[in-house]
Amino acid sequence: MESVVNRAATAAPMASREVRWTTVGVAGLVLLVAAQVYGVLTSPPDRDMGHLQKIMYVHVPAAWNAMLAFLLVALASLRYLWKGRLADDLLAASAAEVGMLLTGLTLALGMIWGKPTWGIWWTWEPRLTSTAVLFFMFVAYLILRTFVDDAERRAQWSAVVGLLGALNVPIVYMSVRWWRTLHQMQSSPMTLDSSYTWPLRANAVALMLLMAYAVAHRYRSALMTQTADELMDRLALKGTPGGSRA
Amino acid sequence: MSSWIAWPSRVPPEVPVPEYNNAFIIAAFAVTWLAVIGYGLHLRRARQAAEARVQSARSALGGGA
Repeated sequence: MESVVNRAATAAPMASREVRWTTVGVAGLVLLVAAQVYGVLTSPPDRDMGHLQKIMYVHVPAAWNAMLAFLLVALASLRYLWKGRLADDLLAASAAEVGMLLTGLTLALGMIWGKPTWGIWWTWEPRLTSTAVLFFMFVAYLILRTFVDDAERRAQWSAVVGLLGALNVPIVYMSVRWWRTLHQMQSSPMTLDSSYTWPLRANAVALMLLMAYAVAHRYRSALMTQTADELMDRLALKGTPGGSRA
Repeated sequence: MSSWIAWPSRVPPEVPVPEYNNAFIIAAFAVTWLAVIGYGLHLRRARQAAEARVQSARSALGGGA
């Protein structure tokens, strides 16, 4: 397993990366404000829902970006299982945390949208249920990580659970087509009025920039924590008889 | 009101728009910003804790800053 300390030491200009990611975060924040103002001020009310349609600008981007974050979990987990680099495990964990937050946000916003349109906060229909399962799978993923002390074993178990969790993403996505119940089917520019398309895209891109920034920031913090743990392990080995071999 | 979320479409000018749902719209945007700002603060705290941990590990190893 590759040492994170060595990786951190050889990782070139971290400061310039920080500046780059901070720029991405600030751009995401500014775009999010602009896109929300643009969407709220320029979108005409919907025929059936009136201004409630505007919840789409926060609910749908949160759901899309949660799926993107879980795709990153799957890719990083696969790469960890293939190459055994601890940094990939930390990247998967960072993306899982952000994905879980976005899924929780999607569920909360869906409930806020559901009450005035469906008349209920929650119902056990396929899209809602599969999304809740996805959310709790990644809650379990993050809890699992706190229970395992050994970094290598934690990374292996997390990779397996992360992949199983990510397998649920296509089920969530397709649930509205496979079981046509209460939730509407996926929106696309073909089904959406053009006056709603651009604000939706702008909000999705803004949240994607923020999601990328959050994952990068969390990943860097996780690398630092792992570096500190490895340094402390070296210290502990130095203090034990015959420990100088480390 | 229909129990189905209809595809959004332009409302004809003569159709009155329901006004009773503003609280839900405000709640949705408020929850979003609460999540963005709350997680931003969490990220900042996590970074500070990580930096302090690295610093104390380096100090313990005698390497200083």
